[in-house]
Amino acid sequence: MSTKFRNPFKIRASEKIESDINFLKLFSPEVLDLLFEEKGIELWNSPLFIRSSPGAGKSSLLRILEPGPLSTIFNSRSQNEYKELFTSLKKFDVFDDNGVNTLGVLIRCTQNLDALEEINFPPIQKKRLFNSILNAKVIISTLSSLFELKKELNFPSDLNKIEFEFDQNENSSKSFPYRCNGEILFYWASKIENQIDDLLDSFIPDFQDSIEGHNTPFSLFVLKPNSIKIKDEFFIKRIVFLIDDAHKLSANQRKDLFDFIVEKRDNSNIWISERLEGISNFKSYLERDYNEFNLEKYWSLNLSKFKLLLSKIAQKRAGLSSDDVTTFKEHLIETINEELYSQEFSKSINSSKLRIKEIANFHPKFENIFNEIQSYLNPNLETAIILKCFEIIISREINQKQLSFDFSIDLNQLKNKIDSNIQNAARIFLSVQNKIPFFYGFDVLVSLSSNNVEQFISFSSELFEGILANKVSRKSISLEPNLQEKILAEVAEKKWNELKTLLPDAKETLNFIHSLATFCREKTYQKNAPYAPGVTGFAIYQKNELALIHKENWVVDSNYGNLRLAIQNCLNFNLLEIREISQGKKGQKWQVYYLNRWLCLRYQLPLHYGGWQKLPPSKLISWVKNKQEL
Amino acid sequence: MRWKNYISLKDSSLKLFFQNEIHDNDNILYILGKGFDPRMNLGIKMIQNSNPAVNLELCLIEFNEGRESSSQIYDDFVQKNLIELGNTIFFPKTHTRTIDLWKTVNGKKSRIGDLKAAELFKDQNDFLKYSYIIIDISALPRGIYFSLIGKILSIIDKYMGYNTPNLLILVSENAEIDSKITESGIDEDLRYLKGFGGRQVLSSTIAPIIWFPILGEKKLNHLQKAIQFISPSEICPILPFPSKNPRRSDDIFNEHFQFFEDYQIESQNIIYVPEQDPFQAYRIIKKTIEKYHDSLSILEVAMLS
Repeated sequence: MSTKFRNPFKIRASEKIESDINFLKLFSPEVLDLLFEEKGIELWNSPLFIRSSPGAGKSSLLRILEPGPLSTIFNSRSQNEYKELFTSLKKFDVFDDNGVNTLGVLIRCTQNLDALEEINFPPIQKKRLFNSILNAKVIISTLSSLFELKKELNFPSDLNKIEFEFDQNENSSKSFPYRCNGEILFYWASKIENQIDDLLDSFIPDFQDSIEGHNTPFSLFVLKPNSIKIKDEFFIKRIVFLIDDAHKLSANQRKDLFDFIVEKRDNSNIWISERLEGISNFKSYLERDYNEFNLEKYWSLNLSKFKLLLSKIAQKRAGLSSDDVTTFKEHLIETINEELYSQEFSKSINSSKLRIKEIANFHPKFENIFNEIQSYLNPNLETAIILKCFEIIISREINQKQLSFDFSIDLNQLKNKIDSNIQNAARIFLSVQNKIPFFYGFDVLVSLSSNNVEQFISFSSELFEGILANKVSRKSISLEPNLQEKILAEVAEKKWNELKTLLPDAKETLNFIHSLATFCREKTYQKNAPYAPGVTGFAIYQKNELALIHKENWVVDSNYGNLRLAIQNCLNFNLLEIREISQGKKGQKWQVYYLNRWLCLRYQLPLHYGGWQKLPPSKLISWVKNKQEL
Repeated sequence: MRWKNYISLKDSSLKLFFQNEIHDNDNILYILGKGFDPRMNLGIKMIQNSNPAVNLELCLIEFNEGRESSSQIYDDFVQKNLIELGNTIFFPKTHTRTIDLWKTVNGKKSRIGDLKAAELFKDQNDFLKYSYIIIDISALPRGIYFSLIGKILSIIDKYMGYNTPNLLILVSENAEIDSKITESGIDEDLRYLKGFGGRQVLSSTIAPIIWFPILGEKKLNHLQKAIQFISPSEICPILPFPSKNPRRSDDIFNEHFQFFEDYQIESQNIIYVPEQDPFQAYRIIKKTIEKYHDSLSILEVAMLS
């Protein structure tokens, strides 16, 4: 494939269809640095679980450790394009002086493994067959990686040049060749894989009763650097098994595999990537006691690094454009032209003054304020925001239930009450009420990404189209804020419409999301902005202790099945983000489900986190069942 | 080539076939889907009208698609079809088989309809007494009928020598109705339908994958999903031509413009097949596959992945 693209933001970098070269051109090392910072030495010799929602970069993280990309980086380490990646990966100890010392073995769980669950066999036999096929895939993938690493060897003629000698203490199968060459091992694994594929895919299988079943996925532990030799020499320092998309295994398979890996406590290197959807037990979701790297969680705690990552990704992609537009961020205009919106500012300023006057008519303590704000005349953003802040604070004052003396308040007292939350609320109130752009600029694009790289790229690709269109029409190629907002809103709308086709049980799930977002809007746009800058999430609150009749638990009760499915769908399709929040009694933690930020854009909600409500499951289930036109 | 010789009949010639070729002493197994599609009963009514004395046994396949499925939402249409079937045609031998299309375990939903469809018939004993097996796919979902036909064909191929019944596939086609039926809910986790894996899932498969997607309207999301799953080395999109609407292939191309651009598909890779003749389409695809085989076997692709 070509290395230049009209719109390089359309490329999906982690997919196998992209060459290693193109993949590396688009890969940014920040995620490696972050992983190393977080895990350090723990990276090796114990299982590592990499979790995120779809599109956060799990597969790319695994792919970088495959022999192809590692060899390319090592062989081009002195070139500018690869220097940074080489430096980042060197910390992982995957290179020595002679080359790549780590053998990354990718095992995809994407293909038909879960179909084993549907065969009419007893559970124990299904488990044994799953172990067999996994062992076969691990062996074949290891051989494949060896040939990718040792380019001087040719497949299949040189299979017999690789010698294997395994530890016989491992509990493997009777037929497993403990001492053999690659040819014998390849034949052993291929036979098993073929037989099980025949069982799964043939209408009338040939080998149904003679397939070898294994007690454990032992191949993950017998394959060690000191069990593989070429010309009587060991040549790798470590093997890392990269198990991708583990959430695609059946629940039983996933549990059996994870239990075995975690309980084995061997010093093998096993990295497992899976989507958050794989965690079906809502209760135990955050109670993991093993080595986990949750990409979105780490990015959310390291926002400046995430911004840097996205900035570099955008730069790299724009650099691949064939249309002479080689930058991206620089073409997103970050400030609005206040002259263009002076009428809107005037309208807002007058509206705020009118509202404050109405209040002052009933509450004399605000009379001074009303007189003082008459000097705020300039129809600009700053004035419009500050008056909107006054409006919010005064609304809060009159809403206070506590009795207070009607002492007159001056403007300075009011100004002292303005904090960043109120300012942020005022800014979005101003924009939404007066149609002034709000969603524009690179920082907004970063927030809209919800810590997800693919989401960033999906919005950026359309903005880049806008930039390319400006170039063709010979205008200034930079995008004005109003055009940015228009494009972003169109992408959000397109995503929403696609959900109607993409989502299973679409109607119920979209009912739920729409009702949730509508609820958030109602809470956010109250005149006193009580949850400034706004509400964008919820936690499920189920209090039974004081109730005479104990309500059913939503996690297990069949009446809440539709709610569980709707939430599961939302997590699968990355419509909700989960964050753990400490609040209330000491040590009390809440799982807060926030709307993905692109939904905040669609419903014109602020992009900040922090505003959430505790809601009972009974209210949430009513949202799922809501009948509404979407 | 499996379908080197084939019979494809439509409209009046099909009616004539039923009148002339199906006799009173023929035993027919008629497999019919219980669905909302208004064309569900057209085929069986045609046989009934052509030969009222026909000895026909009905196997009605009821499929459970889940809570929000079309068959649930349009249950009124399903019931109407059933009443029509019961009122107009009398079958002493009717048996209903139920298939679950989905299975949900711990909130994870997976498609099992094809696996269950392949289990509906076990072996030749299910078919020994019939001279005709007619599978009417008009109201059956694709996820069922591909594996169902494949299984029956395999049983015939493997076990039935001289006693082979005639296997007929019947479909009532109406482009207008088809265009009004839209799919929703694309599977999150793709896999090949039972019987159609083509050994692509094997880690030891060394050949590159050439993909021949048959393009249609409103299938862009499906394509994007499929391409991630298949990871093809080359893509040869198939467009319908000749077609009833001569511009159809152009319209489909325009709809998929971004897909062609994203994956840098060259114009020489586009294959045109006749819209109205599935056998001819099969022949063209099969010949293309054979040509690829010939070319790649010369290259002796020596890679594991």
